[in-house]
Amino acid sequence: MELVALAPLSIAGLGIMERRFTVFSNDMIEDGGDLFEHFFGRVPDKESMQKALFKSEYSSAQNGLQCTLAVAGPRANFVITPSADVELDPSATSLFGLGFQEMKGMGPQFAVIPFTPPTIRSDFVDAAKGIVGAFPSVKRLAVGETVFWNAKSRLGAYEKLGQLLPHLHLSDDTSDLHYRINRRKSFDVGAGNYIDINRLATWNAPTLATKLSMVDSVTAVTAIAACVATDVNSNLKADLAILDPNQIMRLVDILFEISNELTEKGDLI
Amino acid sequence: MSRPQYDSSTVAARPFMARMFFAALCFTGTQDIHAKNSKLSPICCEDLQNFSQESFESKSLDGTDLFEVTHRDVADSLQNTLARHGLHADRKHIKSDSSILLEFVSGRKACVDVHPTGEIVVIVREGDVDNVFELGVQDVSLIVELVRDGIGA
Repeated sequence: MELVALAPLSIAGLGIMERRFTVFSNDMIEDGGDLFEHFFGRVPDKESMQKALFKSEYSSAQNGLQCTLAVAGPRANFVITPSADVELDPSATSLFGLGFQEMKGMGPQFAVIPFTPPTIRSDFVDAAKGIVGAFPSVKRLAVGETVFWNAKSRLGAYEKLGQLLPHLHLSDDTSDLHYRINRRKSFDVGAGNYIDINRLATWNAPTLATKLSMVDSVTAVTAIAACVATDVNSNLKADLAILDPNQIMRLVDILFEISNELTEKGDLI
Repeated sequence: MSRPQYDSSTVAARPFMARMFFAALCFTGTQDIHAKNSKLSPICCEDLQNFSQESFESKSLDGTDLFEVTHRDVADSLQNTLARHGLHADRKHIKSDSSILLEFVSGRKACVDVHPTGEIVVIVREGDVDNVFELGVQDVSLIVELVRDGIGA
């Protein structure tokens, strides 16, 4: 049986389902295609435009990963997600250090989609640091990650969320959890420059509905997962144009570190 | 011991005063909540009437995930980009149709009009003729060239 589409629910353990790096520039962003190539190391396959939203979108799907750049006026959103349509091409070159064999070796048949290994995290951070210099004047930066943990039931999902949100007292008779909070804090990016950072995260337990398309059949599958979505960003009022390149690099590191901390340790009180 | 006597006006005034006092308390309380909410979040009391999770997240200035770029953001960044090329707008104002107009009058006479619908209209005057171009955000280089060099760009 050949698998032609894959499901996020099949991922064993921790699965990063989306990683995002957003740059708000003080200027209009030009040449989205060049930015895409610079960041992802590949040429976009598709390009679309939504005029009313001032938005151009560039994307490419290879090796189980969907890479997207959405440019809207002064904002650029670089996103990787597991691809909905995975072409199992053994000769595919690696993306962020993730090759076909590495993906295949991650688990059973369905587990081809990452579960992003550390190489993707570090390469994504490097790509983020590399792209910032392409913007003449950066106003604001943001990092977002969406992480799922497989759970067999709602209670299983709440058990995991209970570890991350110990102050919420989740029990058998609780449901409909949707917990979103921002814990703002100032961080030193060097030379005494403190930047206010929004540490925003949302926890919930969504039901994932997925279609598994086999060669001869399509199966609808649902599953429950514990989920956290982070949105770690420099405060709107702090214009980053005052920072030098080294301080910007430090800030990018800090944003990713905080996002990682939120996904691993939960709500930071 | 005799009970205190009140004339009719005092008795009538007491509940009225009590109501006023209560109303004043409520008013003060609402103001406090409004002020606190304003500090914590851009969502104010009047927005709660039409509250939805999606609108909350998209209006939150602390969040960036659902942040939507408006024509105001585009006009600001376009103004910055033009200024970076030495083209400083002499006047910027919001028209009655909500579009934002950047006017250049000190050098080459030109206007850049950013509409909420996504159109960016550039008007360049050559002699007595106004040349009108309807462009989009992908045409930033052309906008800069038109404002700087006119229709010869």
